[in-house]
Amino acid sequence: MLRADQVLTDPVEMLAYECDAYTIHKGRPDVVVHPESTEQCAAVVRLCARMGVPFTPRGTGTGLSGGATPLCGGVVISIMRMNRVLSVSPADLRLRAQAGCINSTITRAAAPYGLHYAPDPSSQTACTVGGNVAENASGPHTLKYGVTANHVSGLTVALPDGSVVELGSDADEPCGYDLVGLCVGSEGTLGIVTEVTVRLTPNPRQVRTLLAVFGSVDDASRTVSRIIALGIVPCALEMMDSIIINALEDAFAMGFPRDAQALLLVELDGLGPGLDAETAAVRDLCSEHNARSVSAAASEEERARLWFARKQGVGVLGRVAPNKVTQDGLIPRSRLPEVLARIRAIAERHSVRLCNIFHAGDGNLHPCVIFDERDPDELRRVLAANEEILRLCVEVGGSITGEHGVGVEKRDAMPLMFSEADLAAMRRVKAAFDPAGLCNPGKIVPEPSAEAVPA
Amino acid sequence: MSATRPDMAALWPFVADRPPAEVVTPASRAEAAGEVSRALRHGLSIVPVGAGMRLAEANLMRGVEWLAIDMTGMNRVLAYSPDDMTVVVEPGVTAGALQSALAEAGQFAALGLGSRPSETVGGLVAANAQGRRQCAYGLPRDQLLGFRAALSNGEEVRFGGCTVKNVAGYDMGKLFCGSHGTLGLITELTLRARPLPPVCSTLSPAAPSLADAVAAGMALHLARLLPTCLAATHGVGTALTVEFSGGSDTVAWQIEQARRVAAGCGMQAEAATPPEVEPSPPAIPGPGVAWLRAATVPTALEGLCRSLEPCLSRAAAHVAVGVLEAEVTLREPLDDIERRLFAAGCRHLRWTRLPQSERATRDAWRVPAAQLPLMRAVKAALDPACAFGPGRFAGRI
Repeated sequence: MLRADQVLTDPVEMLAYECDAYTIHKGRPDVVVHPESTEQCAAVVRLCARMGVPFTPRGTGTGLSGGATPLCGGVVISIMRMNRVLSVSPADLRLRAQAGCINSTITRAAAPYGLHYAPDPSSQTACTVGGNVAENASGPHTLKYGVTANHVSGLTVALPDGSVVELGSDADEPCGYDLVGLCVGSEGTLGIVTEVTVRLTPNPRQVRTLLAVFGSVDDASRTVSRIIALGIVPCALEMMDSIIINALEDAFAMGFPRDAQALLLVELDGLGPGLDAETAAVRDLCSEHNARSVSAAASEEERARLWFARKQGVGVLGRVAPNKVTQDGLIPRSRLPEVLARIRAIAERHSVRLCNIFHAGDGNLHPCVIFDERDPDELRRVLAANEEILRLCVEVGGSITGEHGVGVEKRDAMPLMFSEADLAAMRRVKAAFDPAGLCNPGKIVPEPSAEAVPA
Repeated sequence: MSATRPDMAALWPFVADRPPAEVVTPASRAEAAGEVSRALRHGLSIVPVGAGMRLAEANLMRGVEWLAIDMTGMNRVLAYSPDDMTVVVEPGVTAGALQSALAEAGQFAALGLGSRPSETVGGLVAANAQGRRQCAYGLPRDQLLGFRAALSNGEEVRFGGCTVKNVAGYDMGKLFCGSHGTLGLITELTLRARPLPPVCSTLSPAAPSLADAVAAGMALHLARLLPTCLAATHGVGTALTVEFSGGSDTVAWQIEQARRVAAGCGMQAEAATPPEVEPSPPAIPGPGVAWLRAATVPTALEGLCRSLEPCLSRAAAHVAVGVLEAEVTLREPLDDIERRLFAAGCRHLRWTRLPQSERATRDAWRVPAAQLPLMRAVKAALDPACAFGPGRFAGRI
C-alpha cells in the first residue's frame, strides 16, 4: 500500500503533527502517512474504516482553528506529497491539481496564461489547495473575487468508507444537490479531498494600490464603512493598527510612521478606463475622514512591498510576544467603528494586549491577542477576552468565524450561533457521509448538550 | 383548494399524478412551520410553490397525497441594510419587488434579473436559476448568505447569517440552492446586494448560425473583457449578445473593443431584432418540444450547439460559463439527443421541460450515478420523513 518512507511512527518525528497553527489544543497521532495518489489515500482510509481507527487529513498545517489536530489519535493522513498540477485549460479558465498543491503554485502555473487563482490567504506560499477547500479559505482579494467556494467546481474525494467519488466537474454549475458546495468548508470531516478543479481568474489589466495613514482607528474604520456604503468595490481593503505597524517596523523597516494608529491598504483594479476616477474618489474619502496622508504605490515593487507587509503582519507578532491567538470574527460592515471600540474596551477590561490586522472591507476581524502561555493568569484572561469578543460578534449579527474555520478552537462556541436543531441537522449531514464517525472526529459540531439528549 | 391560486390548477398534472389534497397560503414563518407539521401529522407529502413557473422542471411525484404550500403570501422584505449590502426577505417576494426595493438605495441583487419579474425569490433559489448574467455574478448559490427552513422532523433551522463571508458550520445553503424544495421549506432568505452599475450597454451583432455566434463569443471570452452577458442566441434570427455594465468610461471602451472582435469574426451588422437572451420556457410544457439546460466548458460549447442543430428551435448559449439552454423539437428519441450531447462534451444535463408523455418514465436530471447514493443520504439527513416532494429530484430522490 505505502512504502516505508511514506509512514512515520517515531514519536519525535510525529510531534509536528500534533496540531496545526492553532497550538492550544493538541492530539498525538498513532501514525502519520504520506500518500502520493488518490488510490493510496483511499487505501489508507479503507484500512482505517475496516479497523475502526480515526483518521485526520492534514495539508501543511497552516490552519488556525485546529482542523488538522488529531484529537482522537489514530492516523494523520498528510496530503503534502500529493502536490502536482495535473492540467491547465486556460480558455476554459480551469486548472486541476492534487489537493496537496500549494496555493501559490497554482497561480504560478496559471501565470503564463495571464491568469491566477483568486483566493489568496496570507499563508498562500505554504498552504495547500486541499486545505483551502477544507476551510473555504479566503484572503484580502476575496472582497471582490469571492471565497474558495466561488472558485472550485470539482473535487475528487476519498469518502470515509474508502470509496472514491468525483463531485462536480469542470463545468460551471452543479447538477443535483451541490455536494461540492457542501464539501467546501467542511474542514475534512466528510471525506478527504484528493484532487481539486479550480476556476482561474484573468489578471487585472490595471491595479491601483493606496496606503492611507490615520491618527485614529475610528477614522480609519469610518472610512471603510463609507467606501462600502458608496458602492465602491475595491479588490482589497485591509486595516492594520499601531502594534502591527511597529512590529513591522522593527522587523522590516518598512518606513511606516510609528506614531500612526491605523493604516488602510486599499487596492482597486480593472480594465483601465474609469479606474483613476474611482481611485481619486477613495483618496477623497480618506482625506475627508482625516487621513494624515494617502500615497499610491508607484511601481509593482512598491505594491509587492506593501502586500508583503500585510501578509507578514500576523507572523511578525512573534517578535512582540511568545504566543498569539488570532480571532476570526465576522460582523456586518456598517458596525465596524462600534465593534472595534468595544473590542478595545474588552481588551482593557481583561488587561490583555490586543492588536488588529484584518479584512476591513468584508467585516472580517482578526483581533490578535498576544500573550505568554507560561503565565497561567494571563492565559485565563486571554481566553476570557476571546470568548467575550466572539459573543460580541454574534450579538451584532455576525459570525464566530469568517475564514479560519471552526475546527476545535470554536467548536464549543457554535451554540452561540446555532440552535440545537441546527446543530443536529449538521450532525445528520456528517453522519450521511461518515456514519462511523471516524473522519476527523471532534471538529465543527459539539456533542449534543446533556439537556438536548433524549432520555 | 385555495381560491387564491386558480392559475395553478393547470400546473398540478406536471407536479404529481394527482391534484393536491389542499393548497395553503401561510402568511408568516410560524404559519408555514405549522402547515409543515400539520402535513406530517396527516401523512401528506409537501410541495412548496412560488410563482409556479419552474414546478414542471422537477420530476413527477407519484403515488402520494400531498399538500401544496403556496409561499406567495410570505412576500415581505424583512430587513434591508444598504450600508452592509444585505437584505432579508420572505421567500414569496417577487424578483421584481426585491429589485425595486433595492434600487431605491442604488443597489440590486444578482438573481431574477431576467424577463420574468414575477418569479419568487424562493423559487429562484430553489431552482438555483440564473439567466444571462451568470458569467458576471454566478448563480443564486453565490448570492445566498443565510436562510431559515422548516424540516420534516418538525424543527425549524437557520444557517448562515447576515455577513458576506461565514464559515461557521456546514454550508447548508449550497444544498438548498437547486434542491427544488425537496429538502425542506425555505421560510426566510438573506441575500447579498450589490451597487447598481450606472451604465449598461449592449451590442447584438447578427450571426449566420448559432455555432458561428458561439465561436465569435469565444473570441470575446478570450479577449478578457468583463461582460455581464455573453450569449449566442437563436430564435427568429441568430445573434451574439454582449452586455457591459459599470462606469460610462469602462463600458464605452469595452463596447468598442467588443465591436472590433466581432468584426474580426465577420459579424458587423447589428441584428434587427435580436432573439431573446433568456428564452423563457413556458410554465406548462407543450407537446412535441422539450427544453434542456446542458453544462460544459466554454471550449466545448460550439460542438454542443452543432450537435443539436437539426432539432434546435430556440437557444441561448452562455459562452463564458459553458451553459446551453435550448428548446428542441422532438423529431427523434430523447436518448439520441442525449447521446449526441454527451458525445460532444456535455458534462451534465437537465431536461427543464418535457412533454407529459415523457415525464412518467424519464428522470429530468442526468447526474453521474456515483453521486446518487450521497445525494440520497443527504436527502435522508435533512428530510428524514421523506415528506418534501418525494421522487421529484434527481435520481427520483
